Amino acid sequence: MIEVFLAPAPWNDPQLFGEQVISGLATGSIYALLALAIVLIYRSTDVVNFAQGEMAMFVTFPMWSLTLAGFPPWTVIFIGIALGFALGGFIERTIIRPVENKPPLSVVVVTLGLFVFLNSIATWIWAQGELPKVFSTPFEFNSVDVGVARVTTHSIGIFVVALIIMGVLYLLFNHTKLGLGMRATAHNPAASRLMGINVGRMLMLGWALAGAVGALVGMLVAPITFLFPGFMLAVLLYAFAAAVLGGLDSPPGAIVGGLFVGVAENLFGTYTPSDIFGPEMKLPLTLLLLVIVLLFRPQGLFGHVQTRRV
Amino acid sequence: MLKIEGIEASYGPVKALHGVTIEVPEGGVVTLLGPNGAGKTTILRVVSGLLRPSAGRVEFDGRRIDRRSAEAIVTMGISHVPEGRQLFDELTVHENLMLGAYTRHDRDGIKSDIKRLSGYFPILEERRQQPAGSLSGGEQQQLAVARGLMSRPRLLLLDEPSLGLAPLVSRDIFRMLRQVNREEGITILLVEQDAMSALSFAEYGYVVETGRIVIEDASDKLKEDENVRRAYLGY
Repeated sequence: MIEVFLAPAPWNDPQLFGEQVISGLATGSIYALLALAIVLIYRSTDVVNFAQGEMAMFVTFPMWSLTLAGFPPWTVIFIGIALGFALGGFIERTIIRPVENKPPLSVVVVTLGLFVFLNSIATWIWAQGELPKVFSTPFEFNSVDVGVARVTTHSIGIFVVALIIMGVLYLLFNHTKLGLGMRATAHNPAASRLMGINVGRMLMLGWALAGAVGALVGMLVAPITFLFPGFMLAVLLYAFAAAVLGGLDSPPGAIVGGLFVGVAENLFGTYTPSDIFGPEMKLPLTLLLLVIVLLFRPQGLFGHVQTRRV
Repeated sequence: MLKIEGIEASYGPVKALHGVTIEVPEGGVVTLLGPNGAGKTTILRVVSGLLRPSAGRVEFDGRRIDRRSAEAIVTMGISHVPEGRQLFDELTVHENLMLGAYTRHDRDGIKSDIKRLSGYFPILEERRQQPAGSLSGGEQQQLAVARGLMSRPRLLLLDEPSLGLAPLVSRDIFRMLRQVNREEGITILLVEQDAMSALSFAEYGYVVETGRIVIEDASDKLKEDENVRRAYLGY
């Protein structure tokens, strides 16, 4: 008979529950943003980018050097976003473009190779000194009361930034000519060329945007996890789970999936019966939940089933 | 206006065109006829820049275009309405039209063009916010042609506009094309399976078989040519 739970039931301790949900929403925003980057690349280029996290890590390290050199935190954030943008576009043009029309497995191998490559190079360049490194956040880690819960200013900052980014991306894709061009390219590249759209440029832009979002995520995560070459691994795993859960081709799905995974991770970590397993089971349990959802809805919560007209 | 000289083209190891020469005068309507797989679509794809020829040249207004990218060729004034329409199914009718005008920057001109085209095809206005994939075949073809005209082209390439359409619907489309050619002087190069409608509309025709031009003549002469009649007109 399971009697010992790690934490009191939600109705007995609403403050704990509230805190777990709210901080879950904050980490969920992180997963949502990275999942958005994954979905962005998948929708615009049909590539599942396994290197998304390492691209973010690869920008966060030099930005750490800039903070050491005395650059103010917000300046570093914006430089990091710009660098992520450039890195994403560069990778698409040089590494992904040659394999874009090859069998899907080739592309998978390339992004996995990129993952390993970036991780190794980063380790070689920046991991010679002591690890992990401290990365400062522009939001700082003050405690604030939100309703029944106590959260950090950094968490609130993450949530606000995520909302802003989602808003910006939404406006870009749905209310600008450029966004329309990108959506067209994602749906039908051949027809897009006949509209005069430079398809190559649109593909680069998709990766550049994803790179920028990824870099931002890296710089928001590093203050929490501290900075070392593998710091984005867990985040990438959760972000992938979120993207697949929401539907790999659905941006709103990525957001809902991210928040869901974030909250689930926290709740599983808190409310586990400690006789059987402890909070370290939160990752397997979250992924198990994902598998169950996919069993009933393989395209994800908001994804589209591929229909083929015969 | 358009000169295609000695074009050879292949899809990988398969040679599709063996030296094709076609001339389209400014303001004229020329049709390409022939059986399935003859290479008619391939000719259009070479002109619009989707396929690079292995030999020969294509000249538009005296300028060579066979080496240029499809995107650049659109800005030069050529619009290709491809086989099977190739609409952006998940985007709305309005968005499809706006994409047709992608290379343009005159907002007022674009707005008035949409209005004008909705005059030819009322469904463009009625179904403005509906996804293009939800339209019927005939409506999709109307949208495809309208989208092709949104870039204000001087040369319009049409690939089988009547395919899969009821005769009345395709007659409407040809009527609209005739109007556009006459009133706006848009030159038209038309690939058609429906040889009868094509020869009634076009002034000149080329018959393409297995990647070669086998007959070319004014359309009323072609209508009387015994071989053409037997093979493509059914009498």
